[in-house]
Amino acid sequence: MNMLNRLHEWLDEKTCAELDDRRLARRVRTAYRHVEPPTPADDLFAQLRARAEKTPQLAPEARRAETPKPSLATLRKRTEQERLIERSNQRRRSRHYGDHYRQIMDYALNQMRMSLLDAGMRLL
Amino acid sequence: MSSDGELIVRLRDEDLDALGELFERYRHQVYRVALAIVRDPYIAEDILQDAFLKLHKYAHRIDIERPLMPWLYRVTANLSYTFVTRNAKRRVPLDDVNEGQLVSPKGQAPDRVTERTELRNDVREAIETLSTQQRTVVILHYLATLSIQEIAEILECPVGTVKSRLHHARNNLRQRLQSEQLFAELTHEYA
Repeated sequence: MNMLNRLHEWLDEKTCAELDDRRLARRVRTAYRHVEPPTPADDLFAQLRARAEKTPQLAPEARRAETPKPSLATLRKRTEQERLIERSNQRRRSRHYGDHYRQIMDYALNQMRMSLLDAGMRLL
Repeated sequence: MSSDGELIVRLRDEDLDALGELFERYRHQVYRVALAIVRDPYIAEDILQDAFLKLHKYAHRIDIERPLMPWLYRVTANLSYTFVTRNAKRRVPLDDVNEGQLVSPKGQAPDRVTERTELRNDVREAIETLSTQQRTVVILHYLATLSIQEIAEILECPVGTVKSRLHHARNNLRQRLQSEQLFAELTHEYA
């Protein structure tokens, strides 16, 4: 029942949000509906036409030339660089996890020491 | 009436009358988006011209199989957003934008027109109070009806950022309009 109520609430909220959204969209469109440029349209187009006559059109986009295949030497160099980067990353990772592991071990040992002390105190 | 694609094909042959037809067809939408973002009617006019100049310049590169309006909106939004971000300190009071540029719809009672004009101005003022980023997202989403994905591409930011800006903008607008008890009135007015 609780689930059903929550579902109803969620649906109500969703419906309200959607209605709000639609109203807002209508409001924004209405707010700008009757806005006109200060200059008459004919004058604006006359200016635009004069500018367009002076502006050359761009030719259709030329197809991109295919990128040349890398040489064997470049490929070898790239592989070597990638190998070095990976090795450096591995070292960094192991250092990071090593630190983390050491912290966990210190904590566990400390906890064990405390438990032993506690048990010893109880025995005494 | 020629389709957008036919007009662009004519424009490719330097037929500037085709550009005139496209200008007449889409100038309102382009101008409104530009004005909403830059908040200066004269700069919005420049952006309107620049957007259509780009249409002329890139006519050969536009895909005529796809609708033109999203392309125009994208160019307008980019031009407007670039202008605003480069001139962040410049600010025009909203009164300057409103005065003398509103055309009353024909056949409506003057008091009704005034009332509606006031309501419209209040919504515009509320949008005006938003930050540039939030305002741009609101205008592109609600006025230009672009999807969140398209807005993210225009603004060159992640989809999540657009969603977040829209969410905050919506909350700010709601708060602002509700505080003036406008939201309910407007809802009643236009529902």
